Amino acid sequence: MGRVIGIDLGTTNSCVAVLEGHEPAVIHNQEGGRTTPSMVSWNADGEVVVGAASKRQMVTNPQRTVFGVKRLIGRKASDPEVQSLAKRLPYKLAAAKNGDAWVDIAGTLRSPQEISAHVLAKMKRVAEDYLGQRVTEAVVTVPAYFDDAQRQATKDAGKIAGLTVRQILNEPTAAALAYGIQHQHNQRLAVFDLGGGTFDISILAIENGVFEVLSTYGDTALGGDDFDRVIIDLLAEEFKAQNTLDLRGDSVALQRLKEAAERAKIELSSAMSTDINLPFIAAGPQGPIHLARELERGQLERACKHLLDRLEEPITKALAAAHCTPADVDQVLLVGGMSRMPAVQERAERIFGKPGSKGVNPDEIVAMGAAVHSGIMGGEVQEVVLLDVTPHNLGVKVTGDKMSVVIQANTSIPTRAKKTLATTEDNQDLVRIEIHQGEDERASKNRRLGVFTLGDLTPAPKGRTKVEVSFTMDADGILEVTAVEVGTGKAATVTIEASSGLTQDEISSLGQRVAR
Amino acid sequence: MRISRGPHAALGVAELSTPEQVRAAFLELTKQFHPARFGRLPADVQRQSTEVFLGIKNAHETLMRSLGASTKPGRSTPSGAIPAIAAEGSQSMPVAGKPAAPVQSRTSTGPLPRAIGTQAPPAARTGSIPVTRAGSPPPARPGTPPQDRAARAPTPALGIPLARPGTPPQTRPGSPPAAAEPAPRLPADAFDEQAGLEVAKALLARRDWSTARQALHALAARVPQSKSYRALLCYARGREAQAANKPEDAALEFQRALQLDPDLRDARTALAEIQRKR
Repeated sequence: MGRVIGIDLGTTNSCVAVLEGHEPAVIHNQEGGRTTPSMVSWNADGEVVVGAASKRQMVTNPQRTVFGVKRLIGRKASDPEVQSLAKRLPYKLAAAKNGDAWVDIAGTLRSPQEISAHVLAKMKRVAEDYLGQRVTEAVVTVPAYFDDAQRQATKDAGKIAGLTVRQILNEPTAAALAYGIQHQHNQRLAVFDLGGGTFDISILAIENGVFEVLSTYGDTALGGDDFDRVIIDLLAEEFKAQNTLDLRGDSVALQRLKEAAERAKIELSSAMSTDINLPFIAAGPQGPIHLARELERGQLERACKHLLDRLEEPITKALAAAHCTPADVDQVLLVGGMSRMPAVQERAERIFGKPGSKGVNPDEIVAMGAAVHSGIMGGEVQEVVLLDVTPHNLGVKVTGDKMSVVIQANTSIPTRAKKTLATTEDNQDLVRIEIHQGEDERASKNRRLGVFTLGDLTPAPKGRTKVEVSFTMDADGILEVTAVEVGTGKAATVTIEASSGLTQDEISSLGQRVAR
Repeated sequence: MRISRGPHAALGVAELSTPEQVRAAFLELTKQFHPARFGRLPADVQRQSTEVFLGIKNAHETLMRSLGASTKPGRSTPSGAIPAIAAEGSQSMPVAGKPAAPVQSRTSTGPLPRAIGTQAPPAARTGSIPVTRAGSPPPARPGTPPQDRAARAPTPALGIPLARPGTPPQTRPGSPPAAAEPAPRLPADAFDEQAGLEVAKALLARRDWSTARQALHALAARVPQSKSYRALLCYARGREAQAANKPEDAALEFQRALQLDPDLRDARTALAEIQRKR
């Protein structure tokens, strides 16, 4: 069997690692970087450029350069988060025929799966060059708080890239695995993962080599991009006040602002102040206008306070669900590029009452954990194993649009749970089982995963006929639902294939183009 | 895995085990049988491994509850919200606001294990893990190293739902001490022979001899008429002995394997290897 690679498919940057002997090793890309920008550009002649080369085009080719597509994958165009994102993107979004959020590149609609596949294919090539052999299998990480559709879409992206995704692994869990394999004594970890687009918090216990996730919470719309946006808005508002010109309306200016904002944010992690210089950012009636100003760390932190505040609730919830107090946590792992920001570290320290663990590379540890997991699957790593949880409630819709939860969030998987339902009408001969995922009490506010019916029920007064619904979720998060009429044993089963909006044919034809 | 013989047998712990012993056994089995371990094998094998692990998990939850202990590390009170086994019968029907119907089908599962009390639900009744009566543990074998109680209890074999309670454990002289091997038979419908064989072969390919031996033992017990399974079992035992630096025992097992199945090339190769070294 060939090697399985571990890929951290990030919002901003991606990273690939393999297991070398017993140690995960990060692989350098062809440009010498240990991480690769998760960016894809289409040139005017149709050529596709990925990674650092694409990032260089950000300013010259903004409408055809896609970044941060992870914030779109598996989501609907009508999703409020997508809508608010769309206003600030230099590239255009469009709704696919099933309502998914896609990207419009010069009139061609492209799915986030296809765009992510280009990044995955690049990581695959990086690994192949290093290993000197073909690679067809991968462990790919996603934010722990991703729902079924987002996971499935990521799997499809792998397929398009010519990779069988052996496991979709949660990012904080991967980080804990990479850390814990070096520090195997029994302990409790909190993984605080603030990346480019998402925030995850997971509480884990390591006990005799078993890594058990106790709880996971998160915010799939909180990350480095939002901090960049705060800086962009700060600069643009100030500029508008002085020049009555909104730079955000011009895609080239917006792209330059974004680049400058990201750089300033990074510099302010080590320096107390930084200069922002954007000559010729706009043309005014009296000639070109320049943007030049100093930005201080304190200013940035004050402007980002509302974002920092949003870190607290998921952490509080995760600790409660794990039946932990901050004092019960032995180590706090800070993961994701945003965890370099001093204000973020201070916030984490304030909540947990201890500083984050040193000696963890926040950009690489997730990919390293994915590589470790590939070793668990391949048998190279025998001494540890992972017990993860499902991050969202799973249930069925019942009368009154209520969500009747069958598997609770933070249940360790694989798991099987059952619930008995009764008919609501006399002589009802059919029940419709609608499966939903999410935390809202109203089923319709949650994501619908699938629906099926069980027919030919025994005629009886309402409430007399009972149907037992059984949910089985495997370790990879795939859900199978069976409904059985109690007494007669009549049954129907469905495996939930969360549709990522692409058919198998579309996946394979895209695959021929992307994986070349 | 003697999942079908009740939670104690499933975890391989003695009836009077402490929560710590139950927990330790569960963690050990989790490392061996978590489905991720089989993540690169065919889908049906993965499915089988999920069933096996669900059996282990349920046994752990059932026992920990009956002992009043938590199923999670470091929780002081048992959690009421572990739906893996709790759902049955306990969920009232939210539609019409009526109480749930008494669950009728429990009768099909036979009496509940004695140890877990009346409120404990049967472990996942659907699928292929029927709960039957917890058998008393097979007697510890002479020569078992005097470790703690959990270790003296029967060693769990691979999680293919095995076991009709009451089949007497067979003691074979000359087998390695860890291999407490009762040889029960399976209910016919509860077993996917092909998947079991795939699991075993994958374990052999991975050179995980002791787990492979347990898997093959389960398989051979299920299909006693198959000489080739028994041959593979002897081969795995031989490899295990070889790894434990007992070449004489290993050679004996390889010879046995070849008697049962002269075409088992791996056994022939392994035997030749040992003879060459002598």
